[in-house]
Amino acid sequence: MHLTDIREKLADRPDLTRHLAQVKEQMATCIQCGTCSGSCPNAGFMDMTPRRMWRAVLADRLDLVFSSQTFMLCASCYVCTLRCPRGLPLTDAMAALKQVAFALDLDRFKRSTRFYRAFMDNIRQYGRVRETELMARYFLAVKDPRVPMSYTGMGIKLMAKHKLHPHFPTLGPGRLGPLFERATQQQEQ
Amino acid sequence: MTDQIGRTLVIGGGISGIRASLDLAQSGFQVLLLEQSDRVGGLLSQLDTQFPTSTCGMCRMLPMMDRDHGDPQCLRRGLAHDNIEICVSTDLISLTGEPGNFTVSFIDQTDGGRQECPVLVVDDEKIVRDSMKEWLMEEGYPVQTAASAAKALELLETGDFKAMLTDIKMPGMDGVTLLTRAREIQPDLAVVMMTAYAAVDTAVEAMKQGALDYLVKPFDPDAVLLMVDRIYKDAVAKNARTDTVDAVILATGATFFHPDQGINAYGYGRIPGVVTNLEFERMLSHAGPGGMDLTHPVTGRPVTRIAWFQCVGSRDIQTGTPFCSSTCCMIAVKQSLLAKTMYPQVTEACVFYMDLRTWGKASDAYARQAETAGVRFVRARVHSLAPGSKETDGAIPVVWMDPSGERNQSLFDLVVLAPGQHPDAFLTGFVKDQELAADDWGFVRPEPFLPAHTSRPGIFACGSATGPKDIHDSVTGATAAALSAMQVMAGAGRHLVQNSEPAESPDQQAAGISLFPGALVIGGGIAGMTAALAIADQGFEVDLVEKTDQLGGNLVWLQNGIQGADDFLEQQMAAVQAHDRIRVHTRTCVAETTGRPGRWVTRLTPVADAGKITDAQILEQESGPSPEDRSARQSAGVPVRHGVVVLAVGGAEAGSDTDGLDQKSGIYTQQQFQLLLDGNDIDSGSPLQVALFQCHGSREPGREYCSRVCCPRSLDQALRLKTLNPDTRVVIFYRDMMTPGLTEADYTEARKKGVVFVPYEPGNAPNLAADDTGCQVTWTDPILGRAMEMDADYVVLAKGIRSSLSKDLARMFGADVDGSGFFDQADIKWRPVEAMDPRVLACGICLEPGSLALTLASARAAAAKAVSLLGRQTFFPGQDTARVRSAFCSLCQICIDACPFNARFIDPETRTLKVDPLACQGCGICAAACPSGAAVVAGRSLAPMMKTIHAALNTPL
Ligand code: SF4
Ligand code: SF4
Ligand code: SF4
Ligand code: SF4
Ligand code: SF4
Repeated sequence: MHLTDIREKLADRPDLTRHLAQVKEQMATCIQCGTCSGSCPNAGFMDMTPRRMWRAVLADRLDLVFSSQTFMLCASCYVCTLRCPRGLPLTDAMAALKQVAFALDLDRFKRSTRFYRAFMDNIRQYGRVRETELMARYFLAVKDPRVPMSYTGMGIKLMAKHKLHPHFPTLGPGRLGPLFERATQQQEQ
Repeated sequence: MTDQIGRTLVIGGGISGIRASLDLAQSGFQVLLLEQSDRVGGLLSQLDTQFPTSTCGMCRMLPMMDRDHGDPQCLRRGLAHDNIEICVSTDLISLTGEPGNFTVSFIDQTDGGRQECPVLVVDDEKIVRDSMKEWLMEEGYPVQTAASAAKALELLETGDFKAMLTDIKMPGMDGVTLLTRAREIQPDLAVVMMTAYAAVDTAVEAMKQGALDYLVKPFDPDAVLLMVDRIYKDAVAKNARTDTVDAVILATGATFFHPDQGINAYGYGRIPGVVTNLEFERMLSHAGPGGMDLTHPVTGRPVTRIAWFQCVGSRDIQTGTPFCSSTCCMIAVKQSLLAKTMYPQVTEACVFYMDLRTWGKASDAYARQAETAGVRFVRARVHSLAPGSKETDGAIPVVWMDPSGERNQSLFDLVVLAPGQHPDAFLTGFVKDQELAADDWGFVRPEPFLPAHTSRPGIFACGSATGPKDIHDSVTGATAAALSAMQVMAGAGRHLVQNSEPAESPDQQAAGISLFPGALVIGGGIAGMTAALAIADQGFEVDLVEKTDQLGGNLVWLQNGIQGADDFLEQQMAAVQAHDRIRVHTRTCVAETTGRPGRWVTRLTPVADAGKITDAQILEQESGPSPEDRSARQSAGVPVRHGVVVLAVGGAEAGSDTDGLDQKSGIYTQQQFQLLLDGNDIDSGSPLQVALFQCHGSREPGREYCSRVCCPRSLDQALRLKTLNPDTRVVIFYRDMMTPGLTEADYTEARKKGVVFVPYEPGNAPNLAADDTGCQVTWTDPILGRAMEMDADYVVLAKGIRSSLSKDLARMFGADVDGSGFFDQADIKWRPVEAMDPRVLACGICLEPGSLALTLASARAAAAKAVSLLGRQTFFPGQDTARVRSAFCSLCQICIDACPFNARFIDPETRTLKVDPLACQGCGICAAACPSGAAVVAGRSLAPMMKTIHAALNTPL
């Protein structure tokens, strides 16, 4: 991902540009102490620790930011937010980066984006997750036969332990629709 | 007549309070010292050692002259002075009045203290009851709780209460009904209603029915305490003692953050081995719980690995503390160094810090000393701690990320936390009662250019009551506050205690000795002028010597950058010129001095190279006071007789180093850049690229100290650049940002405005490549691990301050300069503005680098010392002073070098060795050094001394 590419993509999305500027402003008083990185339970799996992520945000290195999976790996556990001596809204900032990455529909995050979307659609439809259907929709969405293959082993294990239920009672379709619409509306404001 | 003797109330018996009291007492004023706890000495009684001496040294605050009026004992054990009335375990009840006439009432806790004010807390929520009980018990109030109104009534029937705090909404009987019923039982019971915000109306209604006041939930401990304190004070007011004083010095210090408050991520009180730095100080102390051994407080096993965690409850928004506590970094440096050097068993001493705040003239070298001794300094903040386990053999695992994102883990036996300084409940109450101006965090805000003045005339403040302070700044500030109190007392026409002759005078040497009643102030900058004015205002003659043809020193170029400084400078200059007790000698320097200390005769001479002074400056000078006036004042050549000397020769920005960088285009020193900013000579119509480069040539061999002013100044410059054009890119390269105390707020502000901060270590400083078009700066960002660059329009080098004090000048008066060229004070902490000989004083930046506020404080402190010496008609030397048996003396002069107080000299007239009885402290070093047995100390003859030594060493005579 190059800085010019990402700038190009952002050029016709003033809303996202504003969103990113907000993240930068929120993070301005970061003192790079590394408390967030130290506290993050997922830091070991991240290609860039939270502290480095904030540094990149502050240095306007969006190329570094969106070449990283870090914010996708954020589990929203809020530990970093609780520990940051500057009281910065780190988890929210991670979420904001996630949203921007979604909206830009960057290739790098296709799989995550598809997964989240399938997950939310699933919820909207049933009011809870129906794992089997979720995975099926996800596999359809990524359009890559290697992906379902990679889950076969896990699927069999889960089946064996009766953790996957192909038929699950429906809670009635459409109940959560208005809630989702409201949330989308609020987000757009 | 006693009622005409000046008397000052000092509130708080910590270091600042003791210092201010001693200064006033030595000057001959009376002091009433009130202390809430049961002893004086404050926090320092618990600290065995201080940096940089690694000893205590507190007794060095005791008077050097007139020693016999104070009790020359260890100050950590107590304080005694004829002129100080000390009231410990005392609560201040009220303070009213004006300068020259304050009425104070206070009560001894032992007859009618808080024990006499039992409190009843009524609430159906257990958590509220328990926390209120804890807060109030900690302050010494007896507390009982009741879960319901019925239970409360039961307790009221049987017990006597002064105050009741009750919830309004409770199951069963509500708080308002309880109020009415309770007052039937105890009519004089003070009742405070506690209510949620929504029910404030009911609370107000309750006040109509006799409730004293109400508290809105959720409340903080301070609000509750203030309320109960008010009830307590009203209840005991009739038993209180009332007195009158002329001035008030507030020296209450600060309290420490309790690390177990809030989220307590470090598990203080929960994880064995997590202690505060004060607790660790006691463990280090040989008189502490562990004796000579350093052992784990729980397991009792020897401690070998220790970690220090900085900024606990400081620089932390999550604990409501956006400021730095100023002292904890140096405490950690000291403790780690001591642990590493005193206990060979300590294999790992590791300090985790964000910025190591080693500001001031001796701190940085001390930190390097610790590093050399093997202390590890890690720039990282640890997020939280978990207790040790079986695998770690009980040791606490500490996990941190280094800048590159690498995860590290080490095991430690002890983790020492550095809790921050916070304003305490007393201060909060006092500020409120007296309506003092305070900052956002509750510290008293000093008046501009008057470091010890609060917004209320006659009430002065010093120490941590005005923001987190270290010992050095507290002691200086306390002496400055003493001066302010002296000025009030002098203004009210008060007298001094008559100086009495010691009861027994051993021989004729004890006859009174007087100093020449004038002061020589060398240096006409703001420090010199401030000192001169203060001394002259107290009625003494002052000769003010300035080598250039203009007064004002560095403030002349600094004035535009500091709000209000221009008017202040103008006022001070006019006041100095117009003062009939000050003779100003410009373009003059000191030629030589004769006479003995305290009776100096100093000859002044015009400065030879007038070439340096520009025509413009002369013109400016000529438009000043009338010519006759000036010639009358400039009586050069006439010797000046003076009893004290104040060295205030100032300093300058450290000059260009051998790299010659500052000569290149686009590269400026901080001062040069400041002048550009002040002169509006920076065109920031289009966004600029500016690099500010801290510690350029400072804190490294050659200039091993931190100048303390350049970091705050760079922040100021960065903020100004951002105000001029928010799109200007400002990068600050720093080693540690030195923003102690409340200046931390500027640091945060700069970040908020988008200033980029890049830390560097000596050895990988950013690279500057300058050519005609500008300067390219390249560096590696330590967090991103990437090469960065910037084509800077301006590169600003923070070069720090050097002193202008020459060895020759200092030595002329028997003082000296230290390794860095600053005035060598008798003790950096305890006697910060004087030489070994207390008649030689120094202030301003030839004493130490510092801000304008610090310069003014040291100048006023030096003036206080001068006034206190000059004010005494006669001094009576201490009883134990050295003598010379001239018949035995071979004039070898070994004793002259040996005496640390410069008390021995050869009398040119008689060619015999003499002792200055005022300077002599009776230490006896001369007696030990003299090869001929000619040096002796009165009352310490050889035979008994030797006997004592042999007895102590258990050797035969
Ligand atoms: S914990 Fe907060 S201040 Fe520290 S590096 Fe992370 S975001 Fe910055
Ligand atoms: S909220 Fe996200 S970034 Fe923060 S600690 Fe949890 S997983 Fe890490
Ligand atoms: S002195 Fe300041 S920087 Fe150092 S530990 Fe204390 S609060 Fe933190
Ligand atoms: S730039 Fe100046 S104030 Fe800052 S750390 Fe260096 S010497 Fe100290
Ligand atoms: S060395 Fe001798 S003269 Fe000097 S202070 Fe000590 S006792 Fe007095």
